[in-house]
Amino acid sequence: MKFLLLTLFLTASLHAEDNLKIVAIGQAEQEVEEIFFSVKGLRSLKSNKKKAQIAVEVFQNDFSYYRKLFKVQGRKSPVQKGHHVNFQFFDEGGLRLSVTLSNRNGSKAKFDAFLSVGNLRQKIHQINDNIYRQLTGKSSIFNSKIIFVSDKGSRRSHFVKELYSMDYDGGNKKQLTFHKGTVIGPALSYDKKKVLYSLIRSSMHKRNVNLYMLDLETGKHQVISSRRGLNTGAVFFPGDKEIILTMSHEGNAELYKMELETKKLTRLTKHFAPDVDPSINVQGNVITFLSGRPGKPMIYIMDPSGIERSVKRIGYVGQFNATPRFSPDGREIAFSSWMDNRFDIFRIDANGMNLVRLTKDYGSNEDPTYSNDGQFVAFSSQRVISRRKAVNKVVIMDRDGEIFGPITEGFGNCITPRWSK
Amino acid sequence: MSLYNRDMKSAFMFSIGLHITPLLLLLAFSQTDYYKKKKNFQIIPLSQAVRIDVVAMPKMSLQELKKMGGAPPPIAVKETPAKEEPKQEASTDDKDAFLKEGKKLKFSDLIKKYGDKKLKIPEETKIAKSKASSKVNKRDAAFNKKLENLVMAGNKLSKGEALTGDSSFRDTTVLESYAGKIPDIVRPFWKLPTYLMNKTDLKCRIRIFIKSNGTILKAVIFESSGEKEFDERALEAVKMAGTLPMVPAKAQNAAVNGEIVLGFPL
Repeated sequence: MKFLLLTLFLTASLHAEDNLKIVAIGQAEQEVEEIFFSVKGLRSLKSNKKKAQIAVEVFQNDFSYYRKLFKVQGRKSPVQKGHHVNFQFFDEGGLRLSVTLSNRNGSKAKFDAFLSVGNLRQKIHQINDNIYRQLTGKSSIFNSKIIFVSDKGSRRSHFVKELYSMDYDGGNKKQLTFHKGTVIGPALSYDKKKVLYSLIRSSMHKRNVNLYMLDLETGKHQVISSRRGLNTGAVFFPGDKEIILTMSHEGNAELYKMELETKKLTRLTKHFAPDVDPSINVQGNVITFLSGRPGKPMIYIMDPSGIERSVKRIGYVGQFNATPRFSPDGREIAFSSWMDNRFDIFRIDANGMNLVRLTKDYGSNEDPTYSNDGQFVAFSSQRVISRRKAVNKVVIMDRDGEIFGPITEGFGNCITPRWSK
Repeated sequence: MSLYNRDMKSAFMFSIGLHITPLLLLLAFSQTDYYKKKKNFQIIPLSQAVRIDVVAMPKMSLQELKKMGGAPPPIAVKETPAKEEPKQEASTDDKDAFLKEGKKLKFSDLIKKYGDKKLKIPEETKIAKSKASSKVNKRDAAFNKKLENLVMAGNKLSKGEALTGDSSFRDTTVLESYAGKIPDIVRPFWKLPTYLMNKTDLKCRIRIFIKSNGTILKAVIFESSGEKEFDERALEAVKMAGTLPMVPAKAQNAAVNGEIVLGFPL
């Protein structure tokens, strides 16, 4: 009988557990992890001291972009915590660098590199990317490139805008095109080997905006499309075999898909309103573009596998929206919009929710482009100096609008940045 | 017929056995994971989804909104006491004026008053009027300030106060509303390193036993995530939070018995 009572009691107490209230705490915050950074062998160096100092600077600058994840500390840690990065320099013919990464779990990684003048920054970026991968399991922006258009070297009599490329941090700037014309709307392929751009040649009799492709390995360029009217705003499809571009040979600006080898065209949009500025996600199944269908330029998305397939309007506000750009994962769209007599960068989720403003009181900002990891946005910022003069710079901020600063200081007027994906 | 009948006794034992075995089976089954998963807990969602119809581009940038912090901007306008004093005087003057007028208002007086071609307005009311108008100006200023703050706040979403869930039990709502306050206290301490942030499917639940004054008596892992550090971080967050607000009388019993379980993240 006692046993029976006991069992009854036990089951009763079990039932009491059903009354528990579960309260959701929500997503955790990102903890800022500490990296203890030490340098050895710097003093004993003779001729290569400057190179070594640059290497240290590049490391610190690279990780300063991820200040929400890591805090780089110069001093040695008193207790065994955080991650430890050690740069050891050797004078062996050239400059040899040995980097060790260790953390409290005892895991270790080692990276070696021979540094010369030509590859110094690139090698350090690679090492930093390896360190970042070890710590987070993701790839960083350290190896990424940005292409942009600059009017550097143009005179009042002859105005040119040529295409340039640089590392994401503004180092290693290179001129890519020498057309002595106006390059607009560049796009970088996913393998970083090809560049699409449109060109307006001032010398040409009939001004037509043609589309060119430049092979960065051979340095040769070719005309991709020269139909009457616009041939602009081209972007590579993931895989670099196809492109999407805006063309107006049928009278009205519409989006087309083109196979690069056969030049075969497939029309994507069919509407009496203009459709321009396509941007594609990494999967290649959604594009976002700007359309004048509602009477004002508004942001739309669609499936690029068919004509007018699942077209959906995303934005409903803004006086004048421009340049919608997908984040690599396709979850967010950054765009610029006219507000308070200037353009500013905004961000909206691909489902039309969470519209936020990213820039404010920082000149006029246009042409956002997401970094390869989706954590940063580069854009061109214009400061009006006088009635006739304005300065354009490429500026980097994180996806929440925290500005890191310009990376093309003193390099002419730089516009239309495109971050490699 | 007595109970000591042999057949009857064996039948009785058999019946006891028949009843107890399913009970034991039930008991054993209840300990299995399958049962635990099947349990339907009353989950109180922390953040309510708010549907907003966007009518204009946001004026304030995300950085500005972040700087404003979690709390909405103070909508109530604070005024210094020095400013308030003349206000009060004005209002008392107002009342007196009306009172005096009220006293004067006799029928004969009224006839006399309106019989006069020149309307004499008593000076006191004049003053009162001017004071009142100044008061109105002040009120306008205060209102404008309020409006400004409201516009600022309008750019920002505040969390909903209401809790959803099955609130068929009247006396549990006190506990629910108390439990609803806990996440805001614990969340600032709920931090994860990068490698755990990347694993999005981890889930840990911690059962807490709370004394009536709000101190956490005990915090135990109710459902483990399977990742040791994740569980430790969740426990640490609860411990770092320290004391919780006083438990309301109606919920004290349930709180001490550990009826509140915190879900990290759900």
